[in-house]
Amino acid sequence: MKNLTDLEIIESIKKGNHSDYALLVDRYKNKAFSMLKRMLKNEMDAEEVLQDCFLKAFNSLQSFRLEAKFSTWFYRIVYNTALTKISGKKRKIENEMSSIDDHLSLKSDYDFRVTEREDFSKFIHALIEKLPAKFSSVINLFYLENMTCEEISEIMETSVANIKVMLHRSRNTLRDELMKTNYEKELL
Amino acid sequence: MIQLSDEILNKYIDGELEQSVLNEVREQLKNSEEDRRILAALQQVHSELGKLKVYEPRFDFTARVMAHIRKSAVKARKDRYFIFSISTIFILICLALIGYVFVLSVSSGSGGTSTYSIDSYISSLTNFLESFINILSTKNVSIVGSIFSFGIIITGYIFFENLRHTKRKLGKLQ
Repeated sequence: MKNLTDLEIIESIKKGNHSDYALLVDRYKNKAFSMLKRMLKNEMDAEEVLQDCFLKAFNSLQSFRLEAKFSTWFYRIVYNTALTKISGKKRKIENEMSSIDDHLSLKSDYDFRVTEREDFSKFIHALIEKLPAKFSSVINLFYLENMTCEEISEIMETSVANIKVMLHRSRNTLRDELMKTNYEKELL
Repeated sequence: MIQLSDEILNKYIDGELEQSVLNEVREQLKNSEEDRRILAALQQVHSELGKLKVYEPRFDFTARVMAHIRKSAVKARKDRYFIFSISTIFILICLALIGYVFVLSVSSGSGGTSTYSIDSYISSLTNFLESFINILSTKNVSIVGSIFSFGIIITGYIFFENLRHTKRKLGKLQ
């Protein structure tokens, strides 16, 4: 059963085998949860929103076109629900996420010492957790889901050029932080 | 000589540069230690992003989602029954009304004859329509209104009972 494609599972659910939806939940829950946790910066909120997303997706499954890609469709629900949650929490979305001209400044609380390779990895990962919601969703979809910029632009309903700018800016910001520590000298 | 901007370096990492630009970038990297340093840092970031941690929700997450789905399926079924029962009540009231009018029209128009001809059917139908118009006239409108009001009261009662039942169930769950 686990080898079934997303579309085969959806067809089965549409035929009335609702329990097959658990296969889709198991398939997407971890990566979607990672994306939400990085967007919302809160584990409880992330889990609550994820559950909401799976329920929304199930209830809308009848309207899902089988020629579409489930992952793109589902991540659009996840992304939009997360944005609604953020706006509900009265965060300043405009400042944080909407403009690609935003200044991205990161400062890690991680006590970084240039001693071991592991330290560097922890340092970078601590910085990634601090990326603003929109940037972190691009990073998650690109690196965790191995999605193309075109697919991400479909999910986030923005242009491919914007997605590339956000991706590059995230990398550059992380690189700048890294270079501030002079750790890159160790790499050469 | 090419200036290695952040955009070019990012495109270099993603393999999006055209061959002619790529050759120029490689040449520049050979000659500039600073550019090599920047690229190495960017490549390290790219590599670390590739090892992004995957978080997991609580172990019973799938079970909870499926329980919610089952619960909402039961609720949807109940809602369907509710709509079905309300519709049935209305249809029955309408049928009763039509039946009553039909009986009135037949009894007033038949005159004791037992022969069935097209004329008798037409006259019955005419009587039926006349009776129907009569029953909706100002004289009988209060009777029709009362019947519909009775239907609405029954519907309201069922609706509030259903609501109370759902609230009680939710209370138990909390």
